[in-house]
Amino acid sequence: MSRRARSHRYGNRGDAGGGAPHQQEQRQQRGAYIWEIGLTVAVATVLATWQRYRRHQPRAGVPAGADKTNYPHSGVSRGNPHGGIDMHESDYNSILPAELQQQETHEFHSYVWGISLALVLTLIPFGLVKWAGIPRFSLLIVIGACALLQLVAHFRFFLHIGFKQKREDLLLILFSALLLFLMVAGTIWIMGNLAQRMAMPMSMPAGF
Amino acid sequence: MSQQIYNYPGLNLGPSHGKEDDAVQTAMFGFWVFMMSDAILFGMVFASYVTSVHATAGGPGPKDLYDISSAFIETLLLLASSFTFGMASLALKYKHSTPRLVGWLVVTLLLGAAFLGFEVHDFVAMASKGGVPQRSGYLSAFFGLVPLHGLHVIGACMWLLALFGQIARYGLDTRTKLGIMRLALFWHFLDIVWVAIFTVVYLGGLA
Amino acid sequence: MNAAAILAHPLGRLQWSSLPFWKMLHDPTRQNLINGGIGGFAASLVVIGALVVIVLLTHYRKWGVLWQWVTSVDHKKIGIMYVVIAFVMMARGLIEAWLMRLQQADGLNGGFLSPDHFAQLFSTHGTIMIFFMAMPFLFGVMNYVMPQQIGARDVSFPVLNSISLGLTAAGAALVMISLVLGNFSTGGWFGYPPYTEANFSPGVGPDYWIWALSLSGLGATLTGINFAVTVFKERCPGMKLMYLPLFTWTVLVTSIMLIFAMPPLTVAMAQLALDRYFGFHFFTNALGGNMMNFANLFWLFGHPEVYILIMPAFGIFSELVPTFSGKVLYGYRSLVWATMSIAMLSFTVWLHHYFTMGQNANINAVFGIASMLIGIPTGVKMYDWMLTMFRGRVRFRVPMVYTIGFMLLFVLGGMTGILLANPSIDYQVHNTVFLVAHFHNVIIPGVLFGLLGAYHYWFPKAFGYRLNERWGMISAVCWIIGFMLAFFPLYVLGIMGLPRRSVAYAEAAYMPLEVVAFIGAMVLVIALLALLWQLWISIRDRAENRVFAGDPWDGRSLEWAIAAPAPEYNFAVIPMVKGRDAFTTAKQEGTAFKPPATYTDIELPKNSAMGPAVAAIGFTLAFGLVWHIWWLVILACVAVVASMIMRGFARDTTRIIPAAEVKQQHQRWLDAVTRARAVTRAVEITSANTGRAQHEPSGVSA
Repeated sequence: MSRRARSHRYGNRGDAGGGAPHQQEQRQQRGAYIWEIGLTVAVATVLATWQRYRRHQPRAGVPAGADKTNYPHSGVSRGNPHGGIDMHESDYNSILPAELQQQETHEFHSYVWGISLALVLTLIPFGLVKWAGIPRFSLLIVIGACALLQLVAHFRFFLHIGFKQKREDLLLILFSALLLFLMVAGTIWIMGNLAQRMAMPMSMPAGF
Repeated sequence: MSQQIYNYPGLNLGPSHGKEDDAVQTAMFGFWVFMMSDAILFGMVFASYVTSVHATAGGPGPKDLYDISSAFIETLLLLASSFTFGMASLALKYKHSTPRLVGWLVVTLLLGAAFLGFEVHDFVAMASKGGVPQRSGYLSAFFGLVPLHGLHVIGACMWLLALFGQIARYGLDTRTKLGIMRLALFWHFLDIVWVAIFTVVYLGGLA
Repeated sequence: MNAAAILAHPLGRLQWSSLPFWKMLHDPTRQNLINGGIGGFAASLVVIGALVVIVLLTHYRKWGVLWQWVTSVDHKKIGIMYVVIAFVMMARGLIEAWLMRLQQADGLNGGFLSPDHFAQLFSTHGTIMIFFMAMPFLFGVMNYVMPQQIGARDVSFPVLNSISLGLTAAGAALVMISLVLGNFSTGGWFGYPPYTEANFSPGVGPDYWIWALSLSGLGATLTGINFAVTVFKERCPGMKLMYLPLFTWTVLVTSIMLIFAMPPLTVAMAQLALDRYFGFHFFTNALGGNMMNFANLFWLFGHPEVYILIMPAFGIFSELVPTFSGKVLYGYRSLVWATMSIAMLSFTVWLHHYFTMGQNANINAVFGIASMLIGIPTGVKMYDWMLTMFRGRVRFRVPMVYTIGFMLLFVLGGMTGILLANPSIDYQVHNTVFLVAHFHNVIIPGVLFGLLGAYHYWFPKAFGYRLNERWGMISAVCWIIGFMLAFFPLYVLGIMGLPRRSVAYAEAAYMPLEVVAFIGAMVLVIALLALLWQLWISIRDRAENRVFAGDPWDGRSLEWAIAAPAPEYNFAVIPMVKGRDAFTTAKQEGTAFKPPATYTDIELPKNSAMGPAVAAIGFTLAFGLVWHIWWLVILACVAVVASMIMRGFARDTTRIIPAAEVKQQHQRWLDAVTRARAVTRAVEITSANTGRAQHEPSGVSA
């Protein structure tokens, strides 16, 4: 199937608004290119970085101090010409480079998990909206579920929020989420009801 | 080890560091609190949008104005920038060379700028179809929400530029590192807000 | 808004006719003369006041001192500056209230003010009393006291604290300048659109209101973030959350509420500004705008806001009652839980501000029930305070008089609140002065009495000498009596059907009660004058009332364990606590005022010009926006970004106080304390009280 034909078939929903036919066509074509370029760039970035880190897998039994360039742990602080505190140096004295590398790989994997999940959870709703002809209400539910999952993935893998830590972050986020829910849901409830009773153009989905 | 792993990216302090560790924890926690306040702000703007989405007043509606391809590209760009900022955080935390850290940050900045470029292009395209904020309550709400996120991204990009200046001037001292760490949180946070935007605004509008 | 337009109108909308007496000179009718006279007098007060301050500063060569103060990031100085702003604004707000009462007392004859002038009065009165009196006063007390109560040297982000003060000050300055140039909003303190939209209020009034609220709202958000983090992160060793003094608990809860309640206000203001400046349709009548969105957003902020005001006041009373009853606070845990419940519930009741606006009965019922539920934890608090006083040796000092006034009157205000929480009753009295009576009945005895109690209680800590007790008592009694005279008649008038904000009325039966209310307003003005007089004679007689040892009231929490006034680093050595009422425990165990084994260097933040810079830029930006002076707006925006970037480049922001200096200062104070005679509570308001309390276990006679 030619690119042109494909863009006709898939691009018509988003552009149903206006413009002369040939302008629409051009826009659709550009849209199709953009899809592919964007996806390729994203995947290539992830793969390239992945390759890089695969080479950095921890090697068993690396003697302490073998990799001084990356992890100086000589115990001598380089000092800071501007009087700031150098936060790193002394901490590395107590950690073996091998452990450090293991930890780094672990964290790197966390980011890869994050972007993979996010990509999948982005592709599903976009794909469904663009291609699948399922009823609107079901579609909204699926999109919403994907978004929630993606939020969790971002918090977990990019922002490193987990249940194992003792910091206040998780509590803070959950409390914020509760208040956000109260305020947003309350608003939609009230405004939806007002619109219904006053016959204003803000019909809400069924159930409100 | 696990305690180390779940520390903030870019932060390799432990309780043994006493005051410095406390200061960093305080600054990061403070920034989290700020972001949650910002999240409420976005939440209210979202609520405005959702309650106004049908108030098109006879003007163009979501299906006339949104371009799913563009929204998808913007999503990918922002997602990729979140990942590259993650790589920058790792470079900072594990003390790879400063050029490598700056390299990742530059890539992030470019992705952010590309995102903004697409977004502006979107807005111009919408305006050419009559989708200007003065047209209807719905369009006011749209232009109160999506550009607000764009403004945040602009702010984050400017912050990043300022951090480049600080790196050039002071190297990676504590304050610069703290700046990068906080900007990382902010950048990931803006990505989360974007997830909500593409779901509620673009996909919700086109579904 | 193009370059040509900017050049053609370099001062935007600003013209000679913006001056308050312009209309009077050009059209000297009786009403214009009266209104212009009042407006011109108020404007000249502002201008003359500013000039007098400038002349005095120059004459006494105090500009350097002022600069030291405004650039200070010391939480104590910032706290004091907040309270100063609050007192200035309170004076204006109270005079406006008095003027409104005078107008209404004469309202049967149509009064002497134009409706527009009257509307400006109630709008500024509400805006000022909430945003520029109550909140700065609260922030001042919170700033001054909270870090000391948790054994900290400062808040977590001292420069941010100074910036918050700057933003509040810029907002207050904007409200003040509106007296001189142009008009203020006539839309009330909550400024509902579409009335405040450009179609109906094309002037500068709503713009003044929008930007004043935005500036102070931003400052309040930052304060909330700062204080919440401070309580979480800066507590001294051993200070568990459940050991916190109750005032600090309420500060924590208030801060959390600020963090989450201010954003809806910011959104509402921003959207209204977009409507007014760029022709958006968020809240307009046409093209799909919906003003109910504004009402909803505003009260999403507005309801938590009133609890933001009352919560710290509850905390203050929770400090005053045990101290002046000589007893441990009864029901600490229940008070903490009640505080948290009220905070949480306050986010679920916002709709009760617009019961009558058209949603169905079920929604009204849900929010009505939620509103009534707040009475339960509030009742718990009231009983806890009563049980603390029960069998204590209650000492009727000024703060305690305010507390008693609060307990009696606030319950009444709360009861009328329960009435209003019932939607079917609310329909009857909605928008009558019954509502005005209700919220003044909770805010004056609740918030204001709490703040004035705090002022008398902590003043000796801040300045090292006590306030005059006699004039304090006169003022307190005037506040209480004046409040009752001014607002109890409004309940009756409300039930008789007088709508709020009436500039005039035709029903003769209203007049006698309006006159009583005016007499009440007179008494309230006397109360404020007594307060100012008290301040003056307290400063005059300060030598006799010194309490340098720092503990004039036999206090219980850590702020009383240090000198008065407190040194800039608060604690020479960070204290270690083992339980609640840490200072009382120390006094009982005899560990108070003991020299520590070692002293260490103390690191403090340096002064920063960020606070005053943000104040100046914020004010300039807002002023430019109000008057459509676009070049000024652009300049200010550039300045905002530039100052933030410059702050990022700031290094070397702390200074060290060497251990030797700390040791010298601390030991000098300790020596003085050791020489001071510990006094009993019977003589605490005489000059024998030098701030060293003879500790009296509860129940022992003084």
